[in-house]
Amino acid sequence: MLQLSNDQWGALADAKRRQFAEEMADRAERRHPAACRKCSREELIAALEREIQTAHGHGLRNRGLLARFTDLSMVLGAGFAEREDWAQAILANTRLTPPQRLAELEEAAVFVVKGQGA
Amino acid sequence: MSLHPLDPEIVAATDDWFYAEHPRGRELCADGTRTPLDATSEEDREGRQAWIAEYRRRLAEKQAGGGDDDGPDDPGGGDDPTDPAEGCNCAADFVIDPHCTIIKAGDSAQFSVSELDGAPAGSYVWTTTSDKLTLANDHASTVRVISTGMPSASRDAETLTVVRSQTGCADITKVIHLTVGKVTFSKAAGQAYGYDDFDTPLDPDDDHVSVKRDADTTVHVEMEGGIVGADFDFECADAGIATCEEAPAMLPSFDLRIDGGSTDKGSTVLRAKVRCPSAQVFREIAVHTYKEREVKVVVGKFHDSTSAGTALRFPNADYAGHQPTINDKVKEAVARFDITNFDAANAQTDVAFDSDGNGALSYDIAAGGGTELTRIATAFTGARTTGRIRIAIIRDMKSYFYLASAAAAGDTTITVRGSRAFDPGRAMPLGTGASQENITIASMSGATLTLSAPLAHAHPAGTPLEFPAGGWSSDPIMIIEGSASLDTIKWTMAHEAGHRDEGLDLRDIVDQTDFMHWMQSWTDYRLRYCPRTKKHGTGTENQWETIPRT
Repeated sequence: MLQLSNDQWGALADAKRRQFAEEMADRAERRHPAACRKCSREELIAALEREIQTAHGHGLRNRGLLARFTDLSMVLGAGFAEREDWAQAILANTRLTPPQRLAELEEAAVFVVKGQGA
Repeated sequence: MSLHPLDPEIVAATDDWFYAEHPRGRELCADGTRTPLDATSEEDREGRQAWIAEYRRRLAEKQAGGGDDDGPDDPGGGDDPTDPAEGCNCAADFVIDPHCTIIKAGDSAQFSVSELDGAPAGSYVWTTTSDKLTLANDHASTVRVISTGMPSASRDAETLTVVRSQTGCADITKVIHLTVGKVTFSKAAGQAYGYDDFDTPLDPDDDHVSVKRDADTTVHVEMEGGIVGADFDFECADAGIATCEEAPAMLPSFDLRIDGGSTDKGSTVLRAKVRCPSAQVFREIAVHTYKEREVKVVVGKFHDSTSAGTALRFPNADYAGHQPTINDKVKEAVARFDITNFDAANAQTDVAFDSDGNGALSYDIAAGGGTELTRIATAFTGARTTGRIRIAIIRDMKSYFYLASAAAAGDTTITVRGSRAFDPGRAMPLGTGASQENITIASMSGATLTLSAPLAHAHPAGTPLEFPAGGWSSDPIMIIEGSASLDTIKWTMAHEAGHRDEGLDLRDIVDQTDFMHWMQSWTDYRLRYCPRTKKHGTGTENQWETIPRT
């Protein structure tokens, strides 16, 4: 059986994350064109890689959950999970599963965004 | 479907609906201005959920009509697209089973994890950096967390980390914040009745609280580790005997009120139960509800103006005035004294009782009192004594046996009227005047006493043999001033009334911190639930329980 070293696993993980970030960048350019115009494609991919890592740390680990988290990053700004107190409080709620926390984030974000618009 | 980015057209339509139709929306638009819903407040939670539901419905309608559909929300699970082992069916998460985050100091608790539905089994390792906790079975899905006995420095100060591993998948780590809590009951400064620590102040598990029926008292509750009143239910096992109030929610230290039930005598247990499904008892204390025992006493001060030796040392003493001091102590046993002075003006009463002129009341032991006692008893009557235990204070008293037959010089035995146990080896004066001599009892058989040395003088029948007694359970109770302090005399009064059936019905015991101690050498004046050793006879006496409650 083929076994990979830790370094090989790390390199493979970096590549997979980059690949997924590019996929998310394509999605962001389609769904959030105005936000994407503020930076280059490379900057967008780098920012999304960081957001994907943040989401990973909060237990959001499949394609659908990660896509929705990157949507939030696009409307609230990169780093919102560390910057916004209300988001930190939701993500720290251990009584909720990670998908439930994401749903709470999305719903709260609706009214944060609406408030900003008002 | 993803909620973001929001569709401005549907947002506007949903707002129109919300502020026109929804009760919360109408509240927020009362003056015609649309106040936004707060993003996180509990007050607006229901309003937010209604808005979101309506938005989703309208969005689904639009997308069904040809709009952009991003697909349904992903509930979780499935592969991690960033995992190099994507396709190996890695679990996206796991669940920590419901648990109580407060652990009883010195006890243990179990924590478990479960896999999400359909997820493959992972392996788990539990760790803690806390010096208040140790772990057992820490390489399994269920771990036992054991408290070392020390409470936490603050709430949620201890962390328990669990790492899920699955071959070919990224580890998933979760942290549980725990509090090691300790609850202790102790005497409250403002308690209305008793608290007996059973002579072990450091052991709160053997303590007892008393409360009067249909009244209340308090017990002090101390919580350590960051826990507060809201974390616990305080309940008595038998609510018919006692109940207690709800603890103040945010305080770690408070006095808890206990209400005595409508029972003359009953015992139950007050428990501090943590507000978790386990309802684990962190501490308990015995609670005793009693009907209050009232002891009615009247105190007279007697002297014989024809006999100088009977003049009182404390003719102005106010014995009724000692009532609050006594009651402050006997309340511990849910009892109280009602003390009045025989003379309305608290004057001493002059009675010509010293018929033998010895400057003291002569007490005929065999007769249960005799002439001189009868004279005081006869004077000590009237409405002010009705229904009360009579206590007579006198300057001095001599207690006598009298020889039943004459004794000659050289005799080594004497016979007295009546019989009583004498302490061998004790010297006692026999006779009066020039023929008086001290004799020492070597042994006794009924009324015949064998002396340790032959008599030096002859003594006729009726010669007094003075017996060293401090007092007798006569009616009235005779209390001598002797050389005692006024405070000692006052507590002797409570002690002797405490012996009476119509008083507290308590025996002499061996405990100088208790005013029922057999000798006037008190260091305190408590009454105890903790059993006290009887001075006479065998066994012990639980004073709270012995006091009649009828």
